[in-house]
This record gives sequence, structure tokens and C-alpha cells, in this order.
Amino acid sequence: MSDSSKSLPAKVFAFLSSFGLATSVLVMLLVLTFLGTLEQAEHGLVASQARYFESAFIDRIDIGACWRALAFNAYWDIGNVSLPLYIVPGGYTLMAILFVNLLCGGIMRIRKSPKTIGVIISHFAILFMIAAGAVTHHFAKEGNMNLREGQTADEFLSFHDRVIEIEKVQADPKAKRSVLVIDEAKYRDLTDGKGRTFTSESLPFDLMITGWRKNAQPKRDAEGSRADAVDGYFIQELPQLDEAGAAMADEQLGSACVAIAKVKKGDEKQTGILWEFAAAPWTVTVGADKYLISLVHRTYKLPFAVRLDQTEEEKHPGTERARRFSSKVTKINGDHEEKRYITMNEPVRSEGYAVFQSTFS
Amino acid sequence: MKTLRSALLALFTLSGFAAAAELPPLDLFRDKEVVETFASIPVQESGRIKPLENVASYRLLRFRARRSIWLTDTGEMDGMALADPVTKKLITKDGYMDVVIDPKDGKPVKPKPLKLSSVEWMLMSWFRPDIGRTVPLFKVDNSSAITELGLTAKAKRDQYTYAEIEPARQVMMKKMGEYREIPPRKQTPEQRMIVQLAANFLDYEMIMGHFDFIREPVGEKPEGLPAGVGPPIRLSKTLNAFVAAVRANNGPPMQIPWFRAFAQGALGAMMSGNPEQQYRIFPPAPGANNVWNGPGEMIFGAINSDKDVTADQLAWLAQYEDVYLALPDAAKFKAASKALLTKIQEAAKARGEGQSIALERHSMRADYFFYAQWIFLVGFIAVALTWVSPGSRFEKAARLCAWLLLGAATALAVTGVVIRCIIMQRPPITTLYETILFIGASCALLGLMAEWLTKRGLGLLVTAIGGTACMFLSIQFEASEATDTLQQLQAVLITNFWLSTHVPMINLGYAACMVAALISMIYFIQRLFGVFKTGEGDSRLLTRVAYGFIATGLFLSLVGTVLGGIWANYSWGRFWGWDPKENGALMIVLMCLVILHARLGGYIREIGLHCCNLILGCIVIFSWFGVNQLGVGLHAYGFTDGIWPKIYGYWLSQLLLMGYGVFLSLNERRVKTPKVENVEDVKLAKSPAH
Repeated sequence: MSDSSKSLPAKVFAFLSSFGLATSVLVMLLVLTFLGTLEQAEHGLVASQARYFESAFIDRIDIGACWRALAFNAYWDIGNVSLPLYIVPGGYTLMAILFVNLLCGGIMRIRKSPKTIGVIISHFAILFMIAAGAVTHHFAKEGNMNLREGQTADEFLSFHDRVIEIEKVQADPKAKRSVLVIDEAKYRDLTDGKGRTFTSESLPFDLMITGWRKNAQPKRDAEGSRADAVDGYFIQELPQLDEAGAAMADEQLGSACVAIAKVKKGDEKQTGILWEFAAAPWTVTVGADKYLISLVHRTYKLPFAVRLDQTEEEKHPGTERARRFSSKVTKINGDHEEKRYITMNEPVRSEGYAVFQSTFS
Repeated sequence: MKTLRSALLALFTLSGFAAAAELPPLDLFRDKEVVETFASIPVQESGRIKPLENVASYRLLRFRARRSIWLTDTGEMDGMALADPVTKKLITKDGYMDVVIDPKDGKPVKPKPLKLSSVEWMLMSWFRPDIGRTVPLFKVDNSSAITELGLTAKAKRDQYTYAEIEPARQVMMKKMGEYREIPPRKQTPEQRMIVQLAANFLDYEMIMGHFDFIREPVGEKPEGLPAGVGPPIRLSKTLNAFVAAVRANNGPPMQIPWFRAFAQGALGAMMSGNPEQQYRIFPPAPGANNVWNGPGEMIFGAINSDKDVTADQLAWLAQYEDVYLALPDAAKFKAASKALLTKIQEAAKARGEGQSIALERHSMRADYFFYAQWIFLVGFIAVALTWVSPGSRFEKAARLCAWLLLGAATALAVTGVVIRCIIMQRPPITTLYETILFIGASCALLGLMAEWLTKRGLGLLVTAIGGTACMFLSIQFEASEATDTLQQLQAVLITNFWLSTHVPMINLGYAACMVAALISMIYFIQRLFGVFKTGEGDSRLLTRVAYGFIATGLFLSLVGTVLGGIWANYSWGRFWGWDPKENGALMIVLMCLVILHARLGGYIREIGLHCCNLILGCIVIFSWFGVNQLGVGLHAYGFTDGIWPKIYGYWLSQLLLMGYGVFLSLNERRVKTPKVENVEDVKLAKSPAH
């Protein structure tokens, strides 16, 4: 391998296909999986998935959280210790390297003989799974649709993807809606003191976002002393851990931020608070036009509508423990209606979408 | 209804006792025929039809962490026999006896004490609550909880009778109400103990007062009875009249003079504060709903609804009353209880339920895992004997013994698992407890298979250690949970196909990896005793076998994990979700892959491989038990009585062995360095070994 007479491409190939690379990448993936699992206890699944498993690089390791997840704090409480890292490859990078390594070493370089067929097939299978994972990561849309019996819907809300939506109120209720969307990734870093202005040609104002919080609620500024108060309310940050110290589910967190609309003509400013759990959107009025601005889960449209006809919950006799949930739904596509049945481990698949039951209440 | 019940529970002291003359002798309830009849009664509890023996056994296990009880003042075998409150005679193994004073030291002579099985204990509590009060029943692990209740504590861990706890009843109920508001993770051990003790105390009170609703349905001297109702009162005849009177009453029902006793009786009839565990023994008609009825449910159900109890339900109640009212006539009692059993069995059969009652009773009596544990242990001793004089006839004999014993123990464990599957009509693993049984049986089988192939005693050792450890663990686990281990399935597990492919695959993977880790432990311990050196004799065998088990473990875990992904895709719409349990399986797969590739690349050799195996074992333990405990936040719940310290213990022992491995490896390198100049040798060693 270290033969100096080899050409550079041969050396690179030798490195990429080596057992050494395979072993190191696997060890790193192992450590990362361990840490990512432990951090879920306090940071929740979504955050640790983003930090460890879907990231190119890991920015930091919360040693304190991992320590507590293993209950070591019963012996020795180390408090909040965080190890800042920037160049340690994250899950995304590692899996990409593993993919190349597998391809070069496990498929191309490996000795081919009847004995190694099984090994080659397994390598293929893992390659395929990594590729499938990447496709899912980049293209799959996941979300939920809340339906009561008898209700129909043709759009669903993303589980974790939040956006700021700006919609012009139209006089004609039948007119086609058009909504401008700002991705969360573009304002997630705008915590205290940081702000960013978003502009669009179609809007008569620029929108500045600032003071973003992952989990917060608007609170009345009773003393009227706060500089960041908007119309007598300020954004109060809330902990992301529940009473028992465990991470709250991502869906329970309500992010909030301050939005400032600067009218392009003139220097009028309107300020408002955007909050995920707000009952109504914030309204900006410019001249005769009204704009609704809200912080919401991203909405996706389905190519068909779903109506929930009937739900059934079967329980183990004499208990409150569920034995089976099932739903009768109708898929509506234009004039065409189709009855479908969803039950445990049997979703309904159609047109590239799969519909599952997630909660019953 | 639930709130009414819990309010009533906290209010009342149940169980007044019948007059002495009515009380039958205890011997009647130890009669084989009687015990057999009651043990077989089908009961619907926690969504499943099970024999009453099962109910009694888990109740007793919950109260005192054991399935039987001694009638002595300490609750143990060495105590002084208890006296029957009626006859004042001692209850002994040989029947009632008078107190005999030893003339030498003036102390009473301890007669042979009497031990009750769980069903006998249940019958004693039902029909002789006066004795039940005096038996040390409640196990308290933390005497400071007793002190907190204002009682006099005995030893740090001790057993207390109902009568000893009773004075603190009010305090205990108040504290239970307070502590229940605290999330379990934040409760102190004392608070948890008090909540548990209070719940057990109330449940036992209901057991002792179970027949009050027949003996005195509305108290001793009832007043203001509904028109046309007079003593002797039998609820099977007059229940609807009482219920109508409660409904007709406009104010709070407590205003009715007899209501208190009436509600008390109904609570006792229900037998548990936990709605899922109330006593349901009356099967509905075939084709009707699936919920069985019970005496307590019948009374409360009627109060809470506006329908009268139907005649056929009242007929059930009458049948049940007949059993109690037959006392103290032994022959009549036996006949009545048999008639009840037959009627329940026939009604259940008509519904196609309760077929596995006999099998379940058999499996409880056979106690497969308990006996398997001891036979595994004896097998271990036989394996140890083979080391005494290698090569001799004695060794051969000991090995044959070990084979027979371990084979028998494995057969017992496997039979136990299979019977559980037959009883529940589903694949073997649905709960953590069942993984222990399954992995234990698998480890034992894998060890026997390895022994069949290698014939060097290694496989037998693996079987003996793995089998003993897992059976021991399963018994400990069952006692600490103290709930029926045959649980109904969670909704998502309803698909038998996945439950019988993915889950056993993953668990077999755990088993194979644990066996690999076990072999590495054996390797290091043998090195410690200088049995062999690197690359010599048995060491190569150990390495080869361990390597084989890693490959097997990898295959099983990988296939199992992929199957799990496919299932998850069906069930939740995603193949992989980075959930802790999924990550646990992934970590095992990754570690196996690391070991394989590191070995192929020549980064680890014999000692390195065994060290890595130990890490693999630690990862398996983490995935098996640790990930379920995550989510443990700022306050380490279950630290004192939890599973973490045991996991730490395992990890620490493995770290020590690994440290020894590193020491060995460094030592060898130091010794070898000057010698190893022969490049060929190194290359040979680096090439993939198979």
C-alpha cells in the first residue's frame, strides 16, 4: 500500500478503498451514534438528529447532557460542560465517505470469488441503503394532517419545518392565494441583537426579523419597562426541558420572533410579534392593502384530498390499553372517490404519498 | 366513577370481621381440593383471561417480593408460629397446637411453621381476614418510610403486618395523595416507598374485605332500608332495590345511612384500586361484549348507569354468594365452589375463551425458569470439575454430567418460552422481560452448538454462565416488576409477521454478540491464570469461535435491523428515525463491522479482538437495557433501585478486563520487539485469518 512507485491516483484509490479508512469511519459513526442517542434525552430527537446525523460537521458536544443521560450525575454532577468542535465530520460527511469507501473497497477492489459473493452482496445492500437514506433526506416531505371524523383536507403540515408566511389579503375570496415564504434556516440564527431584512419586489415593505427564540411565549410587559416590548408584550423564553428534565418533543416547542415591517416609500415602521401558537396572524397595513404575516409549520399540498369517514379504537377488554386503531377514509381526486382502510402497520399508499395514522384523540 | 372510587378508598377503613363462631378453621382453605378449585377459576385481568392462581401469585409477589408466605411472627421460616385469634392455638405445619413452654429457658418452643402458597394465602385473607391482619406481609425496603409515617421501624428492610401499619392509615393516605402529585422521577426513595406501601395496603384491605358484600352488604345494623327489603340481605335478590334507592336520593349518597357500608362492600368486591386489575369472573354471554363482569363492577356499574342489573347477571351473583354462605360447612362449601368453577368454565368455553388456563397453571407449577437456573448452576459446577484433572476418566465423567445437566436446563428454558407462546398465541418476545428469557435460552443453545462443533468444554462453559445469568436476571426482574409477565400486546405489535421475524432476529443477534463477549471474558480470565499464551493451543480456538460468533451476530443484527426498518416504514412511514432503540441496534452492527474490518486490515489481532469483543458486550448491554432508561433528566430516577448501577457494574468489570488486555498486549510487544525481525511472520499474521 505504501509502495512509493505507485502513481498518485493509485495511491488515492488505495487510501479510499482501505480497511483503515473503513475502520476509522465506522468507529467515528459508532461514537457519533452513541453521543447522538444520549443527547436526545435533553435536546430531543429533532435537534440531535440535525446536529449529529444529518450534519456535515458537528459544532459541539454537550458533554453535560450525555453525562446526565447516563445518570452519572447521581455520583458526580459535572454541570453544564460543552465541548466546542467545528471540524469533526458529522453523520452526513461520514456516510458520504463510507459510501465511497464501500464502493472502492467493498465492490471494486475486493477479491471476487464464490466465497466473497455474500460479502459483496451485503456491501451492495449497505450502499443502497445509504443512497436511499440520502434520497429520503433530500426529497421526502413528512408532516401531519389533523382530521376529525367527516373532515376533508388536501394539505398537510410539516412536522418540524417552520416558515414565516406573508400573504396579501385579497378582496375576492375566490382569487388564487399567493404566499411568500421565508425558511427557518434563514432566520434561525437571529437571536438577541441580530437582525436580518428580507425584501421582495412584490411587497411594499421590507421585513426585518430579530429576537428569535426556539421556545417562547409572548408575555405582557406589566411594568412597561422593557426596551424590547412590542405593543406592551415581550417574548419570554421558555425552557426546552419538561418538569422532569427530559427534552420536550419538537412539536411542543413554539418559536417566536419580532418582525419589523419597514414601508419602502417613506419611513413608516410597524412592529409585531410572530409566534407559532398565535391565534391569528399579524396584520401589516400599507395604504389600502393588508398583509397577513405568520410563523407556521410549512404547508404541503397533496395531489388529492382525504376525508376521514370513521375511526375505530379497539381496546384490550377491561383496560384502557389499545389493541388496534383503524380509520376508514375516502381519497378524493376531482370527481373520483375511493374508499380506503388504514390500520396498524397498513398505511394507504397513493401517488408517491403514504398516509399513516399517527395519533388518536 | 373512578373519582368516586378513589375518594371512597381513602375514606373508609374496610373489613369489619365476622363473629368468631362463623369463622371456619384455616385447614379448610389448605385442603387440596379447595385450593385446586379456586386456583383454576378463570379471571379476566389486564385484558386477559388467567387463572386465579396467577392473580394471587402476583399480588403476593408485589406485597412481599415472594410467591409464598410463612405464618410466623417474622414472616420467615425461623419465626414463631402465629396464633389463631379465635382458638388462641398456634398454627403449625402439623395443625393447631397449644403453646408449649420450654422448661429450660422458659421460652415457648417454636413448632414447625406453616407455609402458605399464594392461593392458600388469598383464601386465608378472604375467609379468615382476622389471621390475615397478623401476618407480616408488606415488605418495606426503606425503614425511614415507616418512621415518616410515625410508626416504629424494625430493621432497615423488614416486613410489616396489616395491623402494624393500620394506626398510620390516615397519615399514609394523606401523604400518598401529596406524593402522587410529584412526578415519579422527582420522588425520593421514601416517598416512592410510601406511595407503594399505601397502594398495597389499600389493595390488601380490599382483599380482606372481599366477601363483606355478601356477609353484611349494608353493615351490621342497617337503617333506612328500601321498602320491602329486610334481613337477611342478599344482593342477588335486592341489588336493584338498593341501586334504585341511591338513584332516587337527591343529596349526596353519604346521607343514606347504609350507603357507606354498601359502597365499602362493593370496593372489597372489586379487590383492587387499579381499574385494570379489578376482579372479573363472570363471563358475558357469547357474542356480547368482551369485558367480563365482576361483583364490584356489577354494583358500581349499576349505580353509575341508569340500567337495572339483568337477571342473568344477578344469577351469577347468587352463584358467588352460595360459595360464601355455604361456610362453615366444609362439604357444602366444596360443592358450591366447584359448581361456581364449572359454571364459569362452561360460560368461558362457550365464548371460546380460557382454553389455556390449564396450561398456564401447569407452567406456573412447573416454574421452568427457576429450575433451569439451578440446573444451569449445577451444570456450571460440573464444568468446573472437568478442570480438576484434565485427561482423566474423572474429566470425561464430569463432562458427560455437564452435557446432560446443561442440555436438560436448556430444554427447560426453551420449553418455558414455548409454553408462554402457546398460552398467549403469539411470538416469543413482546416485553423486556421476555427478551431476557429468549436471549438466555438462545445463549444456552448457541453454547451447546459451539460445544458440539469444538468439543473442548468452551461451549459448555458459555451455556452454563449465559444460562445461569439470564435465568437469575429474569427471576430478579420479575420480582422487581411484580406484574404479570404475560402482558397483552401494544397496538403496534399486532402484526405477527414482524413480531416473529424482526424481534427474534435482533435478539438472537444480541445473544450471539453476548456469547462472543463471554468467550472473550473467558479468554482473559484464562490468561490471568496463565492457562495459555497468545497464539498457543486453546487461545486460537477461543479466538476462532469468538470471531465466528461476531460474524453470526453481525448477520443477525444487520438482517434484523433492516427488517425493523421495513416494519417501521410500514408502521410509521420512515425506514430509519434515529430513535434510541434503533440507534442501539445500529451501534451493535457498527461495532461488529469495526471488529471485522479492523481484523481484516490487521489492526487488531488476538488480544485486540478480545478487547473489542468486550466493548461489543458493553454496547449490547447498553442497547438491551440502557436505552430504555434514557430520558433520565436532571434527577436520576431509579438510581437507587434502578438498572443503571447494574449496567455500570458490568461496564466497570469489562473495563478492568480490557485494562488487563492492554497490559498484556504492551507486555508482549515489549518482549517481542527485539526478536521480531522476520517480516514474513508479521505479514502472515496480518493476512485475514479464517
